[in-house]
Amino acid sequence: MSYYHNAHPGFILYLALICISVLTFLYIDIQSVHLGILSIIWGGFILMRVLSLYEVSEHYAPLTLRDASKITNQGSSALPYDLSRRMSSHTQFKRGVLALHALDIRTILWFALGVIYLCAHLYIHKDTMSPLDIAKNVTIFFTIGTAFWAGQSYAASQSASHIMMVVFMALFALSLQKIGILLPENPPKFQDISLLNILLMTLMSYSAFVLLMGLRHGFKNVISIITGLMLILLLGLSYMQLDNLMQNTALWLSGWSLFSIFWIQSYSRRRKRYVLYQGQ
Amino acid sequence: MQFTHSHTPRRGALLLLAVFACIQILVGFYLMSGTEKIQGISDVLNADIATIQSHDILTLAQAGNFIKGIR
Repeated sequence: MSYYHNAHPGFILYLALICISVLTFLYIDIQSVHLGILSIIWGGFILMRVLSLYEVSEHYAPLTLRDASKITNQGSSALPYDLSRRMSSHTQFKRGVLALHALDIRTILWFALGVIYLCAHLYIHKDTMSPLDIAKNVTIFFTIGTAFWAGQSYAASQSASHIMMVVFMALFALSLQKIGILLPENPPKFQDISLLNILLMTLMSYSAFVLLMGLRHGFKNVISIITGLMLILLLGLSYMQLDNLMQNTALWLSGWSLFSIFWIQSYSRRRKRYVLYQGQ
Repeated sequence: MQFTHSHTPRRGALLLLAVFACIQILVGFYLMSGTEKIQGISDVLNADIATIQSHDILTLAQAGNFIKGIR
């Protein structure tokens, strides 16, 4: 029994939150109060998503672990047990077990690199920042990070990833158009080589590396990987042109959310093994 | 499809994310608290200083015109 009717609870809420956040950053002169409200809503949403994944992790995932294997198939008496196990395991997959890929160590490492960047940013600017500015920076980082993670947890579903692709591409294009970067009149500015830039480039290079590692599983997802690499390159180029405006948060939010789809597809092996009647 | 992860890393990751979410909520409440009022007062003070300065400049300009008029 599940507490949730849907296999991916909160998906519509997630899409709505991304849309509201991006449009708020783009079109409203955002104040601390607005940021505070957004931060609380995002925090509450992530807590709910963590709880739903906790249920999947504790209840459904163990049922897929003890999968009947070729070894049990060799004894024909195990066949009914094997068949029933596979049928139930198919049901468990439909309950969002693939979303657990979002808890992979590679994602946690991404968060660790992001936190290092944030700490360095706060430390370097500690003399010029008020506590309010620090809080704003922290909440923006957590909003982007959690949107990226929640995107991964939903993008494991094929149908959800298609909807996310359309919505996030539209938001990303809107952000690019609104901010007006990557236009001929705004050539890339080569920024100074600072510790912060190096850390950010490390984060982006790591993201590109994770995508390239997806090629280990074959060339099935090669289009998705190439698109993801182009997106991360676009984010890097736009970073060179960004001034310190609140509107740029919209670009990062929509960009990283879109990137989460390519990220999760690069290392989720969707192939199921049907070996029931092989051998003998 | 086999999940080779054991329970412990998954629980650790979920716990980490829950902590992040709690920090986000706390920071959100901090941003919504009275800090905006202090910001507002400083804005008003800055505006007053700007008004005084512009008033001084106007006065000087008027004095200049007055002197020109005398000449």
